[in-house]
Amino acid sequence: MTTPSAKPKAMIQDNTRCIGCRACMIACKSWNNRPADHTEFFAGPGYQNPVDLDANNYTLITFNEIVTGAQPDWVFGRQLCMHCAHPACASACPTTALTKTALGPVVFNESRCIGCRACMQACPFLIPKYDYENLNPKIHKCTFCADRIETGLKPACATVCPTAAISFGDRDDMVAEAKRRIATAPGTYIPEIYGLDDVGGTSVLHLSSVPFEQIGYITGLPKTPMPDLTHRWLRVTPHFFALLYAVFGALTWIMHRRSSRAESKDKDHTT
Amino acid sequence: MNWRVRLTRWDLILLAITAVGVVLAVVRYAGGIGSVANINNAYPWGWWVGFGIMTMIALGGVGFTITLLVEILGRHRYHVLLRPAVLMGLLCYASAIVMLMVELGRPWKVWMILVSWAPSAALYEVGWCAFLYLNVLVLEFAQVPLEELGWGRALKVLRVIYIPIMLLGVTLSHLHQSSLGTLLTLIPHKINALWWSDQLPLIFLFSAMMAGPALAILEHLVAARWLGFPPNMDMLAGLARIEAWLVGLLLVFRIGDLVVRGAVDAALSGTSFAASFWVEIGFGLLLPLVLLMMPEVRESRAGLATACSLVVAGVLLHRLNVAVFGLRVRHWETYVPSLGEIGISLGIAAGAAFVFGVLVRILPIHEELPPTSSAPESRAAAPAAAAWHGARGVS
Amino acid sequence: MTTDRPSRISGFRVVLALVLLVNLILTIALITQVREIQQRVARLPADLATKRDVASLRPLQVRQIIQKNCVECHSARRLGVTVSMEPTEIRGTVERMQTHPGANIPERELERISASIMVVRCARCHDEGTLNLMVLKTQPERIATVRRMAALPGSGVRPDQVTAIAQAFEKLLSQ
Repeated sequence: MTTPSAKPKAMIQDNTRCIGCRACMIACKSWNNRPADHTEFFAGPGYQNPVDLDANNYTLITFNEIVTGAQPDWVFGRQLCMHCAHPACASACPTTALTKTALGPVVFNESRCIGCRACMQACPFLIPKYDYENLNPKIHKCTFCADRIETGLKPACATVCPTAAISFGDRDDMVAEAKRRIATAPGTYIPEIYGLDDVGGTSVLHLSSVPFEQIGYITGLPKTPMPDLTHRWLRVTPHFFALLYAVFGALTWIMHRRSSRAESKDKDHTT
Repeated sequence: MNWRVRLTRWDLILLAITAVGVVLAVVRYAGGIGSVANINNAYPWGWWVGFGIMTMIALGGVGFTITLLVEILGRHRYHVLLRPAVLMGLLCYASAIVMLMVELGRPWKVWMILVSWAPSAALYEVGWCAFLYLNVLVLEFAQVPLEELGWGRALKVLRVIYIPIMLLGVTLSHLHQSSLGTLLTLIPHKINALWWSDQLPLIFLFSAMMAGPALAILEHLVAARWLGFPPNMDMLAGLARIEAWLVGLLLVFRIGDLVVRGAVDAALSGTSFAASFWVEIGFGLLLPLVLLMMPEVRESRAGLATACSLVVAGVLLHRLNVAVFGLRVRHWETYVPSLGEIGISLGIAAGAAFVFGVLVRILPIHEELPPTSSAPESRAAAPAAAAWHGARGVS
Repeated sequence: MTTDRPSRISGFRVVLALVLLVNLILTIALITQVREIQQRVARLPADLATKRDVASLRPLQVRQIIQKNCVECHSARRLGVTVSMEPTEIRGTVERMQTHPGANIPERELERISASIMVVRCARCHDEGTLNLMVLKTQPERIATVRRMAALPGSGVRPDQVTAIAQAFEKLLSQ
């Protein structure tokens, strides 16, 4: 096994190669020791099963019937944590239970989690899920197989994909590869790499043959990192504190002087 | 201190509601959140956060608002509202913290916030500020029971530190009231355009400041009827005029924010979101503004009670709209608060109301203070602390 | 200070003030909406879509159908003879083609192929884009158009063939 490079990693999810076999979902559950679920078929859109990510399913293949020519055809998409360069979940967590690592994965340290679920609200891709029935609940999401990639292995999903729809490598290489695929087969791909610069860039790059909103992806996200929205308010907290304290202190003193001057005036009048 | 309190039927009703809440809370701890609550992965925050935490903290703003008015801006005309306001603030924050212990998935780890360093997280700032502010409220209010118990030395310490911690409390309140809004600016794609704004921190702060005087007026009227003293209608009329300004300014701010963000078409659409928005604005801002602008309302008990109740309800509806109802989710995802959720939150509120009711009967919280600002022996203490001196003039 | 009894709260005044306030807000709202619409209209492109652009969104695909099903075996020139055929003759021809081994003409395509061949005679005078405009018409309008064309000198279309041709267009659209 070669020594793994220390550069940040990324994954390509090429939906034109995906056949919807769901081996990635099984491998993920297997590696993360998630139990089997009792699901209900057709509980959501079509053959997608389970309907959504949850505490026991960290990745999901979306089944979409798209009419591209005369007839509808299957186009598959995949939902998983995007491991953003500037993760909203990590910035929202008050105990730093979610952190972005150098190799790319946004990892969850469950010993720090208090269960406030701010990360669930913050994530623009609606990824973190909770196990509300558990007496000691925690956040569940794709780990990017951080433990595997540290030793030079590929994530479980990338390892088992039979059609090489999932590629894994250094992010620079993956970006170049994604661009190359679009350039050499423009009829096959739409000219968009989902995750390249959305919300400031992510570690999972998706390619597709049809517009992403048709296959269950969340679109319309800004190209700037989400944490910027709170950062511009929170960074002035210390200045705000000092300013307010000073202003209120000054006001109190002014009012004190006024009332004590009025008092002494009263005293003069009564004596 | 008169320890003997006769429990009225209101006390018993409140205790009963609290008991129900306690039972439900036991179920929550025994069976997990999912056994009592309907919150799910699409709606991770529901009634508990919207009502039990955000609204309680917003209403707890009565503490810092009246303190700001009386102690910092020197409007001693309203000093009689100060003690009840601080007590209400204390109980509201305590209720919010109790709610948090139920709402968190792992409440036994909540101390983690205090040993973490996460300045980018709005909840981190809220947690720290609320924790410190709760301590400030306790230190501020402790003067009352200590005075009754006659513990002069401890009382002197509290009085010496009063000004700095009072300033700290008001400053901290500004910070965490606005940070609750900052928390929600993170999700513009998830909150309906009617409620998301890049000015959410200011909207949260201003609406908390607006809720303060309204709650203080309401409390004075209710306490007057319940404890049997005549309400000071002159003072309430004056405060109501200030409140009218606050409501009017918030209304202008909210509508202006909507216009500037180009979200007006959302308000004119026929969705349930628009309906909830208009109910919130109409009953929570428009109607109270109209009422409070009329002198005959400001001088009438029923008028004031109505107007102020509407203001408080409007703040509650706003918090619920922003944090729960206004969330955009996929079409198969729904959330309706369960009876268990409502029961626990009402139990906590009832418990706080019961404690408030008991404390106002055993401590001099509503006593009218002497007309002159301070007795000679307390001139050494800052006159700002004069509001806290009981009628017995303990130094 | 003695206070008189507080004066009665006039419900009328409350409602009036409320209505005025709501009106003010709605006026501001409407003004912003009107301004936004004005801006959007000003931003519209100068050239809008033509009828042909709209029709081409749902083309008849006559050429594609014939290309796919007929031209593999014999050239398109062989279709020239069909311009004088009756509808039943066309149908019979296509059915005969279907029996040939290796023809691979699916049953459900029979109708469409017959209809496509039926309208080929229109190509004597019109190009594909013009024929596509039939997409935008209702069936009575299509019948009236074909009748008008048939009445022109040198059209080669008899009046009793009008209905069959119009029905062929309709079949091509319903697929």
